[in-house]
Amino acid sequence: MKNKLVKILLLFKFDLKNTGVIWFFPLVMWVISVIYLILQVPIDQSSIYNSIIMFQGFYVPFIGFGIMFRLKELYEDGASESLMPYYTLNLPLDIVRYLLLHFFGVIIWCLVFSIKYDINLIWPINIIHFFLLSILFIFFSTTLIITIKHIEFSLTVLLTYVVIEMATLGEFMPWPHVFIFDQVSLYPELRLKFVFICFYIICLVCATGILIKRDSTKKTNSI
Amino acid sequence: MIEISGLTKRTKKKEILRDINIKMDGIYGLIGPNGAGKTTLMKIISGLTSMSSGRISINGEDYTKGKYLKQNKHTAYLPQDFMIYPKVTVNEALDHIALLKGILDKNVREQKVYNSLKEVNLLEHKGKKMSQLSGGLRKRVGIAQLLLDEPSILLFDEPTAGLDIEERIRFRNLLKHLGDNHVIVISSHIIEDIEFLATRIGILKEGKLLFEGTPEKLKQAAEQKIWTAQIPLEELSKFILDQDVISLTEEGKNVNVRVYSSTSINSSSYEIATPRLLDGYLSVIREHKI
Repeated sequence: MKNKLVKILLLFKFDLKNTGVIWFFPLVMWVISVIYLILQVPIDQSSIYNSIIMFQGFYVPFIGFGIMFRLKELYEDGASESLMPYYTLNLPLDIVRYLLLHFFGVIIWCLVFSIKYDINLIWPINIIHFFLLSILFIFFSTTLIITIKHIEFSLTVLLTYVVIEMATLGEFMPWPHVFIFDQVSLYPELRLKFVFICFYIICLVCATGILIKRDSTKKTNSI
Repeated sequence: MIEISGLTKRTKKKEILRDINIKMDGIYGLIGPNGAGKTTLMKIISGLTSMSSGRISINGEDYTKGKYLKQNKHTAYLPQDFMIYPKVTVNEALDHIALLKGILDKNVREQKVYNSLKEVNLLEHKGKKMSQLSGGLRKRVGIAQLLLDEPSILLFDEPTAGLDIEERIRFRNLLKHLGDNHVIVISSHIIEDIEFLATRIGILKEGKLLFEGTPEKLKQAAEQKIWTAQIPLEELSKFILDQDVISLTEEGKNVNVRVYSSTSINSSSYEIATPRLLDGYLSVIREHKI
């Protein structure tokens, strides 16, 4: 167990060294959303939810940022064949360590929210939703980078989705809407949304697994 | 030792490898023109790509699992282009690879990294960033990361591609040194890469193994087919057009030419020559028009 923890720490340390300051991007987004929450002066009850929207749009979608930059190494020139066997083997650990790190970020934000307002405003629906979104976005990120094999394009797709969803409050585009913008209660549509999010997670987990396996045993035609 | 029997690789469009049977031991040179199937064969042996049929045994044990070779600790493969983690140092990159390979103990990891750096003579470059290394040094890092696992068989795909002459010589010497303790398979389309290095040679062309044997046996394939002549420098252009010239060496105002001819040349200006490895290779390739 101690060895595993040391390995996790070393992996984070290496990722930071290899990625550079850009590795802190999700942390910056998290800090912004926490500062917004602390400084927010709500005019009415509904404006409290702006900080939740802010948290969903600013921080949660970038939970997979670190793993995206880690996996991008696989698709750099001359690295794929050398690194693929080890990355495939370590992918579950990589996903779990980034997920745990960001779960921690979600928990702290929720604590700050409950200190400032009332935990009952976000418990259970929003908190469960945040955790589901974290899992969803980490697998969405892995699927994007493994499919597109290009960090800039993958980030563009992710950003396009998030910006359009935030700008249209999840109502315009004919694609899955995973964010919650309203004051919540467990009305039937919301239950359905949760079921769909779980379904998307399962799909993305399978996609990640299948795609990385396909890449690691690529049926190459090169001679 | 690697034993390959009945190995075939087909795609929808073509047959890339046809019924390959080889025993690879010592320093094995796998040569052939571009598109012969060398890289595919190397990738199959390292488990990176599938075969359509056949069996592969390593050190006497059959590692074939369906269409793939099972992951094993015996073989390690260095691809043609090797570059990892440009922003970190050689030492950090190797330490990280060792960690990914499952070596969790820090002391063991450090020792293994040190040993592999020493083996490829890279200790003085361990603090340099990967992006600062020349092509030859990068390939040496590639070998160092393979050695972390202490494999007994090293597979190199076009190891000298992109290296300058000096790096090429150094790299060849390194392969010779590694050959003392490892089985080495070198795939290349350049005969100089394996000359004086390989103890056995296989020639692939269009997926078919045309020759398998010792360098001496390969040279014998060109016996009575290589001729030398001395011609004036000014006649060279016309001569090259008329004859199958293999090599040229300038000697004052004349040029010594080596000519390939499978039939006897009845001319007093020609002499039969002792064949070299390149002559043997060309002889095999030219006689097997598929």
